[in-house]
This record gives sequence, structure tokens and C-alpha cells, in this order.
Amino acid sequence: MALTDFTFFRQLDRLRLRIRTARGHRPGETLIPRATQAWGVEFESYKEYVPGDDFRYVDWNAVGRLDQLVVRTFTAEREIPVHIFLDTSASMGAPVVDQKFVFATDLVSALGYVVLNNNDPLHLVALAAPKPGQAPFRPAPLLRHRSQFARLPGFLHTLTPGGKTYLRETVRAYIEQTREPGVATVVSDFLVEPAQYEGALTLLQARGYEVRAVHIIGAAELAPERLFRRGKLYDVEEQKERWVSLNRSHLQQYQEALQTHLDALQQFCHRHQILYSRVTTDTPLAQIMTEQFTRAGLLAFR
Amino acid sequence: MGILNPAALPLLTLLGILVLIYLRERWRQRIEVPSLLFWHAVPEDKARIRRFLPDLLFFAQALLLLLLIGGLLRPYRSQTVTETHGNRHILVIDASASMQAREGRSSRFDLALDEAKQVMQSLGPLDESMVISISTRPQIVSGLTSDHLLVLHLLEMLQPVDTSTNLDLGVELALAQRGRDGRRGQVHVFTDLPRSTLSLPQEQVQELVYHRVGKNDDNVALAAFHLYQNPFQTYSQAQAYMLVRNYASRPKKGTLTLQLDNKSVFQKEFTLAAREAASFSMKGFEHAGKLTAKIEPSDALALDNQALSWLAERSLRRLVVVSPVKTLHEELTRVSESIPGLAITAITPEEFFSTRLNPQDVALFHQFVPSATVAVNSLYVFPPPNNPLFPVIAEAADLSILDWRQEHDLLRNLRYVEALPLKKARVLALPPWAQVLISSRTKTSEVPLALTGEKDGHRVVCLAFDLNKGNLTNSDNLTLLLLFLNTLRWLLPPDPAIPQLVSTGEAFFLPPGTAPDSLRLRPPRGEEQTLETDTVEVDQIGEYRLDGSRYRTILYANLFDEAESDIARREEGATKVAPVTKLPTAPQELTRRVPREFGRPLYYGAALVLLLEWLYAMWRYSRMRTA
Repeated sequence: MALTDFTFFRQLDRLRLRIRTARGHRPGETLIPRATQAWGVEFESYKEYVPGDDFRYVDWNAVGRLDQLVVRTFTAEREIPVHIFLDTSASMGAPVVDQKFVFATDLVSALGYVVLNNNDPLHLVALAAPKPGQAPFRPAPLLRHRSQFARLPGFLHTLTPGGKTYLRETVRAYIEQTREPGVATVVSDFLVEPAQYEGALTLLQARGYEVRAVHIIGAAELAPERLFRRGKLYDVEEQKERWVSLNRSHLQQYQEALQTHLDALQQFCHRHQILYSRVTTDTPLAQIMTEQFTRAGLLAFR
Repeated sequence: MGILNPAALPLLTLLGILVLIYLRERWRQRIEVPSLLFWHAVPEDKARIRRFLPDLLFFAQALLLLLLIGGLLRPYRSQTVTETHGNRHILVIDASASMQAREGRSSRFDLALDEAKQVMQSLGPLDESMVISISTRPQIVSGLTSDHLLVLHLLEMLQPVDTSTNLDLGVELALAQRGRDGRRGQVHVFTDLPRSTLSLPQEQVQELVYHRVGKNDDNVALAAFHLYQNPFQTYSQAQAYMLVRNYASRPKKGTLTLQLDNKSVFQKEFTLAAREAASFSMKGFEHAGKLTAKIEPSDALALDNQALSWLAERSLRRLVVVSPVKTLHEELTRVSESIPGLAITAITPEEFFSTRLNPQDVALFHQFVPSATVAVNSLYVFPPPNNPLFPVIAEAADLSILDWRQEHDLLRNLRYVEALPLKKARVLALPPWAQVLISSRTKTSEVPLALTGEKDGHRVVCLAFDLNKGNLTNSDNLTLLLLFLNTLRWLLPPDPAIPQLVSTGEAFFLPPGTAPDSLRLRPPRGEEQTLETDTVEVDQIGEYRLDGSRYRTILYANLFDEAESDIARREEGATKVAPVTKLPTAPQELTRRVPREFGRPLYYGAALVLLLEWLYAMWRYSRMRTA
């Protein structure tokens, strides 16, 4: 995503995060549905006056009608910490034609812009394979305001895909160091056994995060016949080889296995009330942000 | 169909290499996928992958390779073409000495040229002509050409030479040129020789268009001029013989003059009857110098009226005898007493290494062969075993002589070669530079008894048999003495200051190691020129001078050829003149098969395939990018 693409940024300016269950303690600009406060912009409800309430918010019309002192309450506006987990395993870099990792960093940049545009703090975390003596993740510096957005691409450019995927272990390691939950968005290709992603997402939910899963899938993964007809397949994470000759029945078997995996992930998210969105690399980013994510409930228009 | 370059056939193995490259690339190439998670559902198919399954790109590359190799093979298909040609006329012009004979106001050669020009002027524009001049050897004056003006110009430039003629050779060459490419044509022969002198098949002779010139027989010639003087004789002992022959059919008068250094020392008038000869001799010359014999008759050919020779002074020659046996020295000393001008130096093999040899010396090695090359002409007698020059195979005794080369100078005047004493001999392996002079034979092979040859620019003679005591001086062994003297004469190096006698038509070869570029040649007639090869073609009578910084010599060229001097040339035997074939005038149409190469279109095809391959690759790349 080019930082000079002002048209795209103008589209992003119209978007905000859609919060469902996440709560924040600091006052902010994000509206928290079903949460009230004594002041604000957006009227939420009434409540019976109790001593100490601000007299300025007494609704005198209602007092006239009901003969009872009632004060207006407003939708709470809080600062919601947003945690974006970016999968940087080797599978995000293959196949090369899909440019999955580049696509993922662009997507994270766009999401980060929306978050910072609402003046919510952004915690970007690159999930990497655990190494002895090193943290299994690499956090970006905490960003709090849209003016700090320019630092985000700098961090993303330092990342390269490599190593195996350890979603559960890396997520666990991160949340053990973080005390303030918020919105957790996992951006990954989820090319792991179900136990791995289920463990990671469940763990986040259990710690009070409002969890979202953004599933990136490459165009060549959906249609591998574009990639080859016959050849030696090489798993970039497991470093194993397999000779495959791609005829119609083999292709069908592959697509069935893929669909089973996709369905399992989607159903898991649905069961656990995790917002799930599947994006393919051949879809324009603007379309994903303005249409796909808003439809899936990840984002909303202002 | 065929190919012109079969050497390119092995390039077809490149196709096999291409297949190997494909298999190797397929085996090595791997497709990176994010995970094999879903591919486990697909059965692995190793066997099918290993099979060679060519794709479109392989076929394109194989086709490209085939087209390139096909181009290199230079394939052709035979095609029949019809061409219109004129006729061929090969003009063979005799340029020998007899063609210089006068016929009225002009010479025979001029008459021949006039007839040749008439033939040229009668040719059509498509006709081709060729001129061959023949003397001792044929020379192509102009190749086949339709440029008649050029041929006429070349005819004008043609000059006769003072040599004999070999008309058969010239006519054979002309016949071969005429029949080339299946073309028709005629061979015109311009000569003063009768048709019957040609020793070719009768049908070939009858095909010739024969233009004979000359009827005059008026010639008196100096048929021979011999000076008898061996290297050991002084000028006063020399004797000159002159033979004068009248070839005319009527009596002729004349004067014979012998000049020594341009001063007349002998003069005699003679009268010869028709076709008669007379000889004259003279001796008792007072000093050495150039001898010129001249006759002054009134005849048609002046070339054969003069001859040159050189009267030499006697120079002292040394024979260095290297032998471990003293008896040979004594015997040779007795022989040398009767040879004035020959000095004997006898040394033992041990003394030889400290002896300095002059280039004019002759060495005799008896039972000894030096390890290093000897820089003088040498005679080796009975070489010992294990010598470096003549490998000794075995010892032999009481051999009998079975064969010898009668024409060699060493055996001159030897009537009883088989009388040579051969009690002890050694069987020698023949060195590559030597030839067998006298030989015997065992049951299995030839045994050389005397060898001659030239090694490192020096003459070498080897006698494989030993000389016993008294062999050379005993009157019973005259053959051996003559052989020894002949050998000595043959080995004596010529005095470089003395002019060398050659006959016209011969080639004079420069000594080995003489650079021709540094030599200036002054022929008897014509301008001085730089010698370009190591050969001097002697085609004029008179004195040739060769001058260089390191080498100089004088050649005296004489013409003693009865066939040239006898200018009457009567037709012998059957004098029936064969009918002359008329000149074919109409152009001829020739059909022949020519190979038409089509290698170039294959190269174009290769370029096209390459372009299509590139376009396909571009299309695939753009499609992938779009995807």
C-alpha cells in the first residue's frame, strides 16, 4: 500500500472499528455500545437522578411529564486497545506468485490506519517461530495517534516470512505480558492443524479480547493448476517434498481437503462468536476494507 | 536429397543432451507451497513424474535445435538445370626451340600465332577459349574464358623458349580441359611437328584440329660439345669434342670456331653432305676459361649454332682416410701416386676428433663411424657394429651380388659388378635417407652391399664389405678400383667458382639452405630479376648468373636436341591426313543436375521458432502477472 495513495486513505477516513464486547478504561473516541456515561455526544438513555449527578444533564421536559428527576446518559466513548497479530511464518511467503505476505502487510497497514485514525492505541505484534533466548513475537512500538502512522510501514518493512507457524505458543507468550485486553485481530493464512488456531483464538477469548480472524489465502492456493501440472512440491515450513501429478481427480481431492479446512475454521469462529473474514490476494485492498470487512462486522462507516 | 556437411551429424546428439537437461531440471526443480496439509489427500506420483513427458516448450526447443543442425548439415536437393553454352576451343601452341626456325621473313612461331588469332576471330560470343603453351612442360597461358580480346592480347605476349617439346603432355591436358563438365569443344594444335609424332590413341589424334606450320629443313646444328676433363686433370690435359650435323636435305657449308675466353683457339671450315655429321676435337689448351663453340652456316635455326663449356684448372683435393688399419693407408697412397691432384691424409679414429676438415675434402671412414655428423662428403667402408649411422643387423660372408643400379654414376664403366670381392660383409639396415646401389639377397630379404644418399646436405656412400689387403692394387680387382675412383669422383664437391653445365628445359635447384630472396638472376636474354623460388627454370641457351651475398654461381645452358634441330619433321609411316572436324558454331544446351541447398530457410525457420517461443514466454509471463 503506497502511503501516497490519498484516494485510498480518503476511503479509510470514512471507516472506524466496530466494537462489540471490548471495553477500555481511558476516555477516548470510540463509541462503546451498551455502555453509558454521564456526558458525551450520543444520547443513550435516562436514569433516575441521584445526588452528585450533573444538574446540567437533567432533562426538564421529562421531569415535567413524569414528575420525577431524570438525567440523560450518553454512549460511552473509550480508548480501545487494538492488538493486531501478524503471522510471519514461511507459509506466508509461498507460493511467491501470490505475494501473500506483502498483501498481509498492506492489509495490516490499512487496519492500523483506521485504528490510529480513531486515536485508539495500536499494538502490532509479528508472530514468529520461537527461538531459544528470544521472545516468540516481535512487537512494534506502541502507536497512539494517526500522526504516528508513518512509523508503521517502517516496522512492517523489516519483517520477512520465515520459520514454522506456532500460533498458540506465540499468542500465549504475548498475552502473558499484556494486562489490558482489547480487540485482537489475527492476520494469518491459518495453514496449521486446527488444534493450533483453535488454541490461539480460544486463549485470546478467554483473556477477554474481542477476537477477529482475518484469513488470507492466495489465488494460487485456490487454483493450484495455475502453478504447475507436474512437479515436486516443497513445504516451505516443514521442508518436506512430495511428487504430485495434477490431473482432474487429484485437483478435486485437493480442493475438497482445502474446503474442509476452510469450513472447519469458519465454523469454529462462528461457534465462538469470533468475527471471521476470508480474503484472497487477488482482491483489491480497498474492496476488502470498505465492503468485505464492513459486511463481516470488523469495520463500520462513521 | 543429401547433405554437404556430414561432419555436423554428431551434433544430433545434442537432442539427447536436451532430453537429459529436461529430466535433470524436472528432477531438480521444486515448487514451493505454503503447506502440504491439503496435498496429503492427493496420492504421490513419483513414477509418472520420472517419465519423460515433454511439454510445448521442449518441442519448441527441440525443433529449434533440429533446424539449426539441419542448417549446419547443408542439406540439398538435386535439381536439373539447362544451360546454354558456347563451344570450347583449346589452343595448344608449341613454343619449343624449333618454332624459332625462320620461314621466309617470319618464324614458325609467328605463323602459328597468326593461325591461332584467326581461330580466335572466328569464335562466337558465347564460345570459350583457353591457351596452353607447350615446351618441356605445358603452361596454361589463359584459363577458359569468353573474353576473346584478352586471349588475343595474351597470344601477342607469348614468346618461344629454347627447349625441347613434349607435345603429348600438352594435348592430353587440352583434351582433359575440353571434356570438363561434359561440354563439347575442339583442341587446336599449332606446331611444326607432324601429327604422327603424337603417341596418343588414334581416335584422340583424329579429333584434333591440327595446324602444322613450317616446311623449311635448312638447319646445321652443333649436335654435341663435350669437354673431357676429370677433376684430377689440368686444362692442358683436357680435350674438347664437337659434333656438327647437317639436317638439311642438301649439302651445307660453314665454319666451326672454338673460342677460349672470347679468343679464337680453333677454326675450321666444313662442308657436310645432306643429313651428314662430322666431329672435331681439340686439346692442348693454354689456360683455363670459358669455351664457346660456334658454327656459322646460313641456316634457318640459329639456336643450335652455339654451345658453352668451362675449362677448369686442377685444384688439389684431399682425401682424409680415417682407419684403424695401416694397410689401407699404404694401399691408397699407392693408388694416389697415379692420381695427380689427390693428396691423402691418413689418421686413426682417435686423431679424427682433432682434425679440421675443409669443405672441399672427402672423408673415408674405414671400420669407423664418427658419433657426430661430418660436414663433408664421406665414404664409409665396412662400418662397425653399434655405429650411429648404419645399424648393423648381422655379419655375412661369401655373399654374391645379385642386383645393382647400372645407371648410377658410381657404376659408370663397370662391366663386371658381380666381380667385387665380398669375403666379409655386414648386413645393414637401410637408413631412410639412403638408396641401395648394390645388393645381394638372402632367403627372406634384400641385403644392401653399397648404399648412396644425401644426409644433411652432403653426399654419403657406404660399402658394407671390407677391403682386404691388395684389393685396390691387385690387377684382378679392377672392378673395385674403378668403383673406388668413381666413388671418389662422385663425392668430390663441385668447385663453386666453376660454371655448371645444364641443358635447356631442365630445372636447376639451389643448394639446401640457400634463401632465394637474396639472389638476383640474370638470364641470357631479358632483365635481371629477384629469384622467388629455389628453382631456376632454364629455358634459354647461354649464360645464367646467380648473384647473392652468400651464394653465387654461373650456369651454362646448351641445347643439344636432335628432335628440335631436325626441323624438317617429315611425316613418318602413314601420312594419311585425318579429316579436320569443322568448328561447331551453334551454342549447345547442357542439362545437368546441380545441388540446391536449402539450409538457409532452416536458419530462418529457427529464427521464427525462437521468436514464437519468446512471444509465448511473454504471453505466459503477462498471464501470470495478471493472475
